[in-house]
Amino acid sequence: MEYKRIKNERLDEEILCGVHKSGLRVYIIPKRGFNKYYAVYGTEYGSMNTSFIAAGESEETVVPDGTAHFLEHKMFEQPDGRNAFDLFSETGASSNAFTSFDVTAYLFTCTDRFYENLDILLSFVNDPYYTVENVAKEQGIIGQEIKMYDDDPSWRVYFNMLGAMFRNNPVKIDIAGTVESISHITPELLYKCHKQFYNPANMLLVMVGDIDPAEAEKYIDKYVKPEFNVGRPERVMPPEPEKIVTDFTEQRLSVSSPMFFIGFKEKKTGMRGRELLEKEIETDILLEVLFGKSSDFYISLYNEGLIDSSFGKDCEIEPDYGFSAVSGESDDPQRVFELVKERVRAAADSGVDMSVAERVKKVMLGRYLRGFNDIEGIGNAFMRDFIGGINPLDYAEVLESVGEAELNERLREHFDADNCTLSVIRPIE
Amino acid sequence: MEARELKTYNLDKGINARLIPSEKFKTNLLSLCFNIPLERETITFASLLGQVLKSGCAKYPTITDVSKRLEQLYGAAQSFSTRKKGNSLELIFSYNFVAERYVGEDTLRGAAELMRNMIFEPYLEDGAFSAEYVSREKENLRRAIESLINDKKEYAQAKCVENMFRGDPYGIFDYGYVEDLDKINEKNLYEYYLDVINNSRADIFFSGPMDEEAALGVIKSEIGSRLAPRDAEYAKTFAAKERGGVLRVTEPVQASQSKLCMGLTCRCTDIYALLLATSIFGGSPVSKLFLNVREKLSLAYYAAARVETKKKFMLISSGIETDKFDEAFNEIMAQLECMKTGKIDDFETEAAKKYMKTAYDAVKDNQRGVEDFYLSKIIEGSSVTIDEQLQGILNVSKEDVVRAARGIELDTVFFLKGEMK
Repeated sequence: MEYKRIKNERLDEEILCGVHKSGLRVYIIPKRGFNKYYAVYGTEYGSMNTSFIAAGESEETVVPDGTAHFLEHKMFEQPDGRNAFDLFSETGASSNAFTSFDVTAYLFTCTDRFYENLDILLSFVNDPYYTVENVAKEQGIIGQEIKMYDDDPSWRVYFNMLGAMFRNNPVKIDIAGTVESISHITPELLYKCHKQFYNPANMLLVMVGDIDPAEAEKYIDKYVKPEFNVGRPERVMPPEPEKIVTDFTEQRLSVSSPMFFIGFKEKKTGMRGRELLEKEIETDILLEVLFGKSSDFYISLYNEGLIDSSFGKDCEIEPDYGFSAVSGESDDPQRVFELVKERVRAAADSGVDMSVAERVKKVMLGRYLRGFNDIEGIGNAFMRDFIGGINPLDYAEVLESVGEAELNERLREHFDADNCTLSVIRPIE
Repeated sequence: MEARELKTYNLDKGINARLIPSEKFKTNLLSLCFNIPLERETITFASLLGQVLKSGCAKYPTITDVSKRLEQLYGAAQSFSTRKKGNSLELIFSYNFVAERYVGEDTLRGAAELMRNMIFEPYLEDGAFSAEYVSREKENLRRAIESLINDKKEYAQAKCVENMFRGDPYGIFDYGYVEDLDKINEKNLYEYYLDVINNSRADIFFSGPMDEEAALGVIKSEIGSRLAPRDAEYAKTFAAKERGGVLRVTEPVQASQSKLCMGLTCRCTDIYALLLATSIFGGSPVSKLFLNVREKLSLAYYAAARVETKKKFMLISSGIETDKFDEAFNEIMAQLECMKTGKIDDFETEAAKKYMKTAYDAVKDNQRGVEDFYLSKIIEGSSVTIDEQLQGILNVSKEDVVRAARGIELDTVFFLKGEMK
């Protein structure tokens, strides 16, 4: 396998990128001096992929909400009745998996015997084993997990916001589904999803640490067969209007004071590569300029007691969906919502203060550099970037290049005071 | 022999600089730590102090000014917090910032100056803290204390500890207490502050890429010079007392799920055996609790155990269906019995050892993890390194594990009972 080497001298970091003969995309990020190794094996398949056209079929397949997450849980079970966790425990690795909106990933961290662990990882993810019995058992375990999320105010306030923001986009679907939806999952369905989405054309492998590319390739050859490649299944995404569904949603749960999320919906989809990275960086800069700790907005709300140190902001700008959000706890979330809208309107009128933006860019450079301390963090963040067609080592350069015109344009297009929503969790009375 | 990763320089009586040089990180971590005894009378003062100091200093009087300065330092992360360590409390003021070589600026000098400004030159009005800042942060702390209930898992654990350790300072809730807030004002908080910085044991940690001599110079001139010599010792931790019975407490909560927490006392003095026993019992995804209570019987979504070796205290934490209380409780106790009677397979011991090796090696890749490990050791009066502690655990035999397990007794059962109206 040929690797292309991307280097950044200033950061003293590099990435090796290659495509295995099966079609699997492979990335190695050499980190020397660290004890840890990390590998993450991901498929571009998440909770939002509930509808697709399988390779060789013409009819659309619609699966129950929560199927991707269910499949993730079931992957660990082996035909001999063992659990992949047991295999990792024999080598001392710690392993896990996660399902997000658009990715399911299997990962391990270890400090030695990296290739044995890689062997286990590639083996179990490519070896599905589903039976009526083990599916039924999992329905019980995941049912518990769903109930835990139902009680979790910080999870609910977030998903209620997505529901208020997106009319059709399946990003609004709870990742684990519902007790009812997962009751329709069968072994046949899981096998079909595995074949379609867990095929090399749809997957990538990211390895971080002092890794020998040739040695790693032996294990890829062993488990990832070219004949598994059935092409990428066609995702069916319903059309999504620019407009949000409703500007307010509320639920009561056992919390001490109200929690809120205020969301701005991304209007553009289908962005990739450098454009996607630019939009993400611009949005991050703007969130910091508008609502950051050094802003007049923050201090005036903080002094008034409207927000506290739980106040935060974040954005997710992805090819298939995007939004940014400010969140926190407040006794008067409505008032915070009004002030947030006032803030973005005033900023749109006056334009971005570039002296503030330049300071914020320093903060973001520091945050980016700090990220390289974290082996797992790099693996996960870079996997996201690779999926979006982004070269993660471009970050500092793109950050530097963002100017006043781009920021003002982004401010007016993304932070639309007439198209944002407030989600609140109130205490039970 | 390999050089020890922690290098200690005594700056004055009761004051030490602790350097942990490492080239692999892109950031430095600078922390000033004060050690005080856990006390019911002062805990809320301690919890509030960091928040008030964070609000501003003489040079940067407002949060906005401080934030701007942090932003200029490439988004240095400022964290003022408290951490319970056995029967003592550490007040930790730290700055995490990008190392000089990646930005071409003397970021250590910048951060150390800011630390000096923030900790030793606070923003004062009429010889005390700002009344406005204190009242604002009291309100924030009240909210933070009350919001503990938002995280039911954390809440149940805290309540279990509180119930088990009534009459022992270890049971004190480290965020402090809402009912204390009325007594605190800008004057008595300032007096408390002076007492802490002038009289408690002080450690200054610095880790990451560095020129040791230059770093020590900056630390001495910016921080060390502001600390007068002191007599204080580290607060002592005493082992949990055995109750000779079981305390059962149930508290209702509006939630669909319940949390079962159990506090146990540990008699074993071999801390390595105790750590390994805890790992086999409930410290990993291959532990008895995880595999039996969660996986095999589907009685819980999570079930885990951890141990505080100095305090001789084990906490078991699980999330269960309300009507599964008896089954889950009985299964947890049955698994503990297996530990005591030696029903432990070799692969379980081996898996736990490997799991711990990975965990300790991983600590070395985390700046805050390394700092925290050594801070704990220093308080305990131990000079053991991370590798030595790991080796100690790897040398533990199954017999040692069983002996450690036999000294574990159930003390408190706290049930946060979910009820939906």
